[in-house]
Amino acid sequence: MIDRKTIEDLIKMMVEHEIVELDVADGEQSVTIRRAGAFSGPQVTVGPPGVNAPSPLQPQSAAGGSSVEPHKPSGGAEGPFIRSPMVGTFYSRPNPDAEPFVSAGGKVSDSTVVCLIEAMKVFNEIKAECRGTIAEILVNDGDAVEYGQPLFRLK
Amino acid sequence: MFTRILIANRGEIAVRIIRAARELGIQSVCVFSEADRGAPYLDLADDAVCIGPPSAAQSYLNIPRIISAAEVANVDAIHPGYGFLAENSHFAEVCRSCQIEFIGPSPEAMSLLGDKINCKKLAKANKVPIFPGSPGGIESKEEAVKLAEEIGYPVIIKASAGGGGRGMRIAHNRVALEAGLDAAQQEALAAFGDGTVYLEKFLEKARHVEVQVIGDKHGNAIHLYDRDCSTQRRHQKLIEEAPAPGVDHSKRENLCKSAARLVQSAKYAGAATVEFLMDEEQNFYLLEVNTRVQVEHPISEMITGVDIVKTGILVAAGEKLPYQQKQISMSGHAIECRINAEDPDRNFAPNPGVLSRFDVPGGPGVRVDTHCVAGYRVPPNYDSLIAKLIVHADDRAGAIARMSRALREFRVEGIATTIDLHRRLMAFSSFIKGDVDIHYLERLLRK
Repeated sequence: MIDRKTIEDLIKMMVEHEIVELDVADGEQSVTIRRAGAFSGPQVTVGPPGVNAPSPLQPQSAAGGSSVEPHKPSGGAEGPFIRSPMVGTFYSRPNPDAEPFVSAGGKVSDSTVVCLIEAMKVFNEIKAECRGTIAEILVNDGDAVEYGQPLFRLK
Repeated sequence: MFTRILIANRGEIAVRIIRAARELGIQSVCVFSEADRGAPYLDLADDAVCIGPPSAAQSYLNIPRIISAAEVANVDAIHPGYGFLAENSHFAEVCRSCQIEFIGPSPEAMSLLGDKINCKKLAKANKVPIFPGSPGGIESKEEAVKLAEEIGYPVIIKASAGGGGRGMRIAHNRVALEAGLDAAQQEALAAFGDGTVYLEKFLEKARHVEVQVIGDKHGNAIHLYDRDCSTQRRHQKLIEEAPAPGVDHSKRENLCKSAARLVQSAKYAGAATVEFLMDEEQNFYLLEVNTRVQVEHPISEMITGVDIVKTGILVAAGEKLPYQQKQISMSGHAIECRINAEDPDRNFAPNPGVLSRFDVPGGPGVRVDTHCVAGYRVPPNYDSLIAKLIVHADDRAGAIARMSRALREFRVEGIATTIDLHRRLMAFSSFIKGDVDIHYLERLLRK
């Protein structure tokens, strides 16, 4: 099981033995750690994406795993989807204390605001622009999203 | 040094930047539009972000989307490549205000050298040879006529804010000059929102010779010698070579040094190219400065051994230029052929489609810069450059022989390309003799 402790131990080992890149797999989990340069910290990417696919980008440190794949609907399920019209950070609530805009089972119409996407410090209200019932929310609060990325799966 | 950079471009130049970043231990994140989704070259980057639909205006030219991508990917810097936003000083300004380093000149240096009239003034102050012509915009027809008589016909009227051949008129006499002024001003106003025009001597038979320069943020600038890009069609270069053939050593040294001085005086950091026209007596006249890395940069890399893209990243990160001018020397001769997805037999009609075969040449002194592989679908939305074939050899004859050999090995099927045209040009006697001018290809194609 690859957990935080495992990763910390791997990093210590890499620095000690001056290893530049390390790939470790354990069952379905795998981790790649790459040291960018002698004096900068290691970069960590963890994959493969699971059922609730994390966005392709990890905001904190290294950008994630393999670059380009057509967006696979989570768990192999099909659309229709509400897709992101922009690049930015996804927020499911109007503010951290409020209820999410929509939840699974909720109904949407064209003008229903389903989420916020923040880009360049501006929070943009994203409207559903379709009618239907939300089957699944595919991204998490604070995830980076790209243009065209599925955000919600509709029934 | 940067940890991660965003590449705000696509195709072969994106690959070039990814490679330089990789060798510097810097992570790269590449933006892409829906038209480029699934392109194999994106796998070379550490990550890729879709920023919009196929239209360039909504993707590669879209500043908010690119900046958002840079923010979510948490990059230190953006590399604009060439074309798109590379010479957009507003974009450079936005990067700066978002505290993202722009890998290129400051907005001020870019504006200074990018504006033709200001650039001319700076050139004069730095003893860079310029066209005899108006010091600034033409104020009146009388002024233009007087100047034209001083310079000697033919003269050319050019838009100060212009490029790409628009807002230009050639005049062989006073009548043509007066008519041309009106026409050029109107066209410039319509095309660029600025009707200011200026006047220059026009050369009937000229070669396009340009000098590669790199500056840093510490006030240093060096040149990497020159290139000849006279093989052009509709102001687009097809073949470039380094160094420019047949130029006297001392004239070359003076020209290149003056180009470096110009860039240095503008406090310019990054790669720049100072473009000149050369007449039959090897007099040089400044055309303009391109404030970006250029398509044909590889041939200068081959003759000097300097990695221009890597150096550009290093100076953007604040490092001093790793070379002094006296360490730069030329060795051998290099030629680049731009392989485009165009059909020369159908007036160079663009030829997007799937590459059913894409066998690139190899062997000694051969370099191919491309984003394409067999099976790749060349999208219709952007420029038609699919590969740059570059060769280097001990001398020009050797380079031509090597290019001919490499072009024969380059097998592309599925779309029409300009490979055959390049093969014919390598066998063209005037090209082999180095007896070319900027219009020779168009004359040849008209036959």
